Amino acid sequence: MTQQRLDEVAADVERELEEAAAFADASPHPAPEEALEDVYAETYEGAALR
Amino acid sequence: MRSVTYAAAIREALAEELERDEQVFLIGEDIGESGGVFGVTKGLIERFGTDRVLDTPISEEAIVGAGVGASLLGGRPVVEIMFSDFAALAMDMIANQAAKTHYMTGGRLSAPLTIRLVTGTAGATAAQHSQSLEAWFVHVPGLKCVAPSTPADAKALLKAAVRDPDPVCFFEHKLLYNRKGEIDDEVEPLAFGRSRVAREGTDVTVVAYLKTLHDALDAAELLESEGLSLEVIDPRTLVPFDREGLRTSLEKTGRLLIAHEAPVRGGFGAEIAAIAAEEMWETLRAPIVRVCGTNTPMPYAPELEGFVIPDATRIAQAARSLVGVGVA
Repeated sequence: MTQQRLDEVAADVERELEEAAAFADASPHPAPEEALEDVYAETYEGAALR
Repeated sequence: MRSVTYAAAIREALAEELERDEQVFLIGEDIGESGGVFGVTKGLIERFGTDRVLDTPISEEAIVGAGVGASLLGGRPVVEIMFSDFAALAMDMIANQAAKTHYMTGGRLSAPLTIRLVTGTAGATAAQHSQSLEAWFVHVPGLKCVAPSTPADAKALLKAAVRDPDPVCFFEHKLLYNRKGEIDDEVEPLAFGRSRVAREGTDVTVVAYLKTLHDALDAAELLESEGLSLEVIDPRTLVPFDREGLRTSLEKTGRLLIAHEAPVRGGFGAEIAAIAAEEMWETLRAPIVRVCGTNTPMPYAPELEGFVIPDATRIAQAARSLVGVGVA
């Protein structure tokens, strides 16, 4: 891999991080109950996963 | 209907899932050429080849880690931990990686691998090859925990585990491998979270799983002649746990006895007792009783091993005491 390609990859990573940080800063804080979401990909009716 | 062993039922489930989905593969120590130390995977490498049935070096962390990585890339690995005791070496991969992937990616990714954990004593297998560690895994949010007691449930639940989008810990008791049971010719996956009434009764609800379920059934048989009626509940899955099944039984009996081979302290029985006490208090008319392993490592000598884990006699005596019969 050339130095030019390495620099491009590093710049891409830096840009992605900056975009993610900007998105987070612009987003509302999550509701507390969101802490209970996404523990499992699938749940079952009548059988609480808690 | 056919009569097959627990080990054969698991082998059938693995073969049918390997046949159904080319993303399914097996990985573990000695599961290929030797067919597994308990013979569960015998013949699968000949049928599906070395790309689908992978023998590994002795490194539980590497085995589970490879499974986690493959699952993140679309694979459906079935990992075997030859003795669940050595899952300790893979706990970072299980508890910190597989269990948390879905949560830490905001639901974007999940690690759908099945971890087969060979558990319990095989009879004089001593402190490092006999443990029942299901409570370790039950405690970790993100893991589902399955504990089948019969060949039919083992086959149906393993098929469900392989297809499940979450990491599943699938416990298999060594002393069940040669136990036979009736299964249908065609077995469909069984949804998690549905308990089974293994025996109907009216006086005491006994919740037990894996080998201890059969000890509970033996105790129920023993007590029938004394006029004491046990209802034996097989939860089949510990996470998710079928609360409604427990409630239905307690509304009938009003008394709860929990039995398992694992040490009593912090065992899954404590969780069941807490669920009953917190959510079903009005159904109870006697203190909850646990008949479990002692808080000791598993001793090697058979006489000592028999002393530290529950059996039908001990379960029966506890049930008598619970209804006020046979109290000294």
